[in-house]
Amino acid sequence: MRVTVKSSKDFFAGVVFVAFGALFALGSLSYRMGTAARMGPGYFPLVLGCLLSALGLAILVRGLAFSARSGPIERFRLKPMLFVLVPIAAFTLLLRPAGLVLSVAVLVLGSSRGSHDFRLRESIVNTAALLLLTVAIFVWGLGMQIPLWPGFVGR
Amino acid sequence: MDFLQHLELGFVTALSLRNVLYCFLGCFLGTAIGVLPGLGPVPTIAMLLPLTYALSPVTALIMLAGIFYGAQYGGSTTSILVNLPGESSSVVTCIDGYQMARRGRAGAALTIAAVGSFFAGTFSTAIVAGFAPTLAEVAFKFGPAEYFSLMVVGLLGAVTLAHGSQLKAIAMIVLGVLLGLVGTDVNSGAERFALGVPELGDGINFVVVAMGLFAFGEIIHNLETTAEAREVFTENVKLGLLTRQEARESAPAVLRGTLLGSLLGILPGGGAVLASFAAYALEKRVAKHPERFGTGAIAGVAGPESANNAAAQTSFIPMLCLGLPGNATMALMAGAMTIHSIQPGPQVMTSNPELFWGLVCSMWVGNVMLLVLNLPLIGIWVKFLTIPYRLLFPAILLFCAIGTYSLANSTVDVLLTIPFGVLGYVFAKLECEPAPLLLGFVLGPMLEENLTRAMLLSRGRVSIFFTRPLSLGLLVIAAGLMGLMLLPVVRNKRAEVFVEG
Repeated sequence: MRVTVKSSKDFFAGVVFVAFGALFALGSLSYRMGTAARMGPGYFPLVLGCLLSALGLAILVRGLAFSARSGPIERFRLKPMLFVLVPIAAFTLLLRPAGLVLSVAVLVLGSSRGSHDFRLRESIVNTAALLLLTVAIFVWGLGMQIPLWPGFVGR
Repeated sequence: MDFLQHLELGFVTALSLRNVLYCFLGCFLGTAIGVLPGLGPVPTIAMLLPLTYALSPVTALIMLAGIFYGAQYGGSTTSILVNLPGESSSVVTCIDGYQMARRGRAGAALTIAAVGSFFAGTFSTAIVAGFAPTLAEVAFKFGPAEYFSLMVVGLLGAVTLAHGSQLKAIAMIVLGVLLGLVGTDVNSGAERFALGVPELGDGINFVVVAMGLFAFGEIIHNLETTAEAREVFTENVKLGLLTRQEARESAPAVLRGTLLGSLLGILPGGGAVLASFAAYALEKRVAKHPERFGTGAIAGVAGPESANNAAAQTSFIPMLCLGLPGNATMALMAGAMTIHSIQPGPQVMTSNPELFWGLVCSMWVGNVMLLVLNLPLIGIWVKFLTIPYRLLFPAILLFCAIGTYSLANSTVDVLLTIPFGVLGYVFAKLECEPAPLLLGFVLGPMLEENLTRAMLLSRGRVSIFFTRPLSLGLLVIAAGLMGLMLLPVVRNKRAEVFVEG
């Protein structure tokens, strides 16, 4: 007998919840449990982890059993996600060693590439404008302690 | 102190030059960002939060509240002029507001949205001022068992009234609570789920969660869908007078919307979104010509717009009086209070009366400002609408990243937004609403603390939750809410309210 996954949205949501629940429940085992009257740090997360897994299981089963309740999942697209999250990571890692100017340029130019109609010149102007705005608000206005340029410049 | 003295204290605080200035700044920035399509109040507040760090707590909260209703209001402008909601509570405004714009009545639609919101804001501010002290007094009688039960009611209520699958929403809450436990346990001092990262010892900052799940998740989703050609009405948009007929149709709708919105705002899980949907459904039901809805009926703008503003205001009540945020925006406000080391709850009113009453009175001041701000500035907001998304989203990303960094000058915080961004995208694909997760996240530590204390008092017997009358009453309500959802009638009605339009 073949089990068909009728509602893949529910099915996979269930899988995600079961996985998270199991991770937290397993993790909590390494902390002191205590008793119901004197709960240790592991008690509450263990209970909740099990509860989450149980809920996930119910959602998963519902995804198997009921047809077309929530429909199939739309395709996952890696590209837009990478165009948002990679520049963020690059910005963060560059911020202290390379300074605000370079990291802002990397973030704005990098993420702009993710748009459907990317225009290089426009993005460069946008970068300059945003840089000015950021420096004005955060460095001059709020006095944020952050280098503007890489350490080897301007010392 | 009696009511009038409270109000006097509040207005003296709210009308100090400094607070008026920041209230204005908040309303202005909130509207400016709220106008931008696809950016709701939650990411707007999270993004602008760093601007308030240096302020005193009262001023900071006044500014944040200004940002909140500014963002709310800006969203309706977008709905009317572009057939695209600025945020989810103005989804229904799109339907008739946009049709009115197409028939050349954009000015009238914007006017009734502004006037309706102002009326609703005034009324519901009075409700907050009148209702809050009584509720806070009740809250003082609460012990840990009552608080725990209350939070259960709040969280389950949020699930019942929100749209989408309840089972998934409950799972999202539990996941949120678990994520909220990351960090040092207050009772034992043990570090939990910190994965050896020292920065996680202090727990995950709620701004990190909000940015990742809401802002980044939304941007990824927007980049994925190709921009469709939209018609934007930017030519000569001015606030215009209503015709006599329009005024007659919209006045009762404003009144109904205000009452319904004030009520729904107080309920856990209620708030602006539910209020506007419910008000639209109500207007359609009572209308003499329901067939005109969808083709530019002014009541379909007046009702929901009044309702969402009223609800936005009254949703402060449970947060301020009980420390229980009823929706994601309030969870963010509660988090902002803790940043300024104020624990939301009934004690705020007595320990920080000028903060509490100043905030309440500033709500009304903010509503006056919105009205004043929007009359002359509508042309500028319209200009904002013409900024293409390809320029906008890198700016949003940048301000989110810098804002998160400035929380604690920590790069770890910014890097942590990335997994939450992935999670936000995955959950959007799986149709799991992120709001319950944020709610659970904020309430998680309180939930555990009160459970632990209640169980300590009862020497480990769960019966404490059922033998104390207040706690039992609350749990009965929680069970009732769950039971309600199982009834097919209610289930269908609920789907109908959200699908309608």
